Amino acid sequence: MRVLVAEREMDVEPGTTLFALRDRVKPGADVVVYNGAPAAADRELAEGDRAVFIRRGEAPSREELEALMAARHTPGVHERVKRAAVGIAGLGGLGSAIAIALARVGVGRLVLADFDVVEPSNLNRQQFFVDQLGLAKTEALAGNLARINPYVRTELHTVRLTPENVPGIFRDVDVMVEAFDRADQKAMLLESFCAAFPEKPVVMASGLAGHASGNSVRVRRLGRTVHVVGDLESAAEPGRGLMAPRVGIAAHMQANTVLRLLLGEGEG
Amino acid sequence: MNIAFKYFAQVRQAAGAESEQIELPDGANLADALAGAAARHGPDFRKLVLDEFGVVRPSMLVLVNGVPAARGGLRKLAEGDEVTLLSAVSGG
Repeated sequence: MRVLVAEREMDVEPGTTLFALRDRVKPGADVVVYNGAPAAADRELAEGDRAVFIRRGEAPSREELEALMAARHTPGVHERVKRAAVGIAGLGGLGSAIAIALARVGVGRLVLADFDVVEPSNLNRQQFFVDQLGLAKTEALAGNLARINPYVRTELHTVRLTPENVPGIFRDVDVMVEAFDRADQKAMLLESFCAAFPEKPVVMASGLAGHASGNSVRVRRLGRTVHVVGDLESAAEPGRGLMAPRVGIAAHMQANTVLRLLLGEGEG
Repeated sequence: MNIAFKYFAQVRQAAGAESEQIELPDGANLADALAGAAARHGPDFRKLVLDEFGVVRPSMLVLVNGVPAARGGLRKLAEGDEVTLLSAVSGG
């Protein structure tokens, strides 16, 4: 009969028990999850049962993690996403959340650039932790990504991006993400990247500060290769700060737009 | 020649229109087109799009026919070209 072990089909003899399967598949597993819930007692398996065996503190192998992603995302989607490279300029509230979403979905390579360090004021919205204060954002984020998906390849650039270095740093990405804070830097990235790579898509953001309705944040297609996420108007300014929920909405809309572009689907 | 303009957000408010056609002399470049739009729409539009020297502001996104254009504005335009303007706002 067939059961699913960590989302992969497996043939087992009728009468096989959950713990016998554990001892065969992953001896010494601390945690057994049976049909979606932790299992404390042994039981006989039935056709179609699902089991996951976990050794606490042990990362899944590349093959295990890929099988889980392929099962969740479908194999065709997973293969295309796995082959992709995405550049992210700026690793603040937008960039750190975008990178995490893309690592979770299995993007193969992320080119990450930011000159800054993690500051206490970042923690209200950026995907860093108190024990990372003072670290370069590139290094801190790479560490966090490795804890989520150790098989995503990261290329780190702890530099201030300029019109001169943008083309070299992001020369081989499939999709470019603008995730800066400053408006002039957003324009600089768009202009310098598109001058070098006019056919490559860019996903940028503008208008995401404050706590106005998340429904006003949307994706617009500004040009042939340019998508803009945001309400286009809500600037960060005194009395309207950057806050985790709305920044997170915009970041995940940017990440979803990247995903759709990688899969050959337009947006906006 | 006729150039199409498409405006977003604050630029749209300053222009009072989503889009329009502006007649420019043959051979005009992007800087001429932006100056022409500024002359038509007055000081608020001009202040938003251009600095005191008539140079495109650093936060302005300028596209020609859907492709981001160099802010120097030297690009020559042709009949039927479309110029898109959006002022990026801070936050990230």
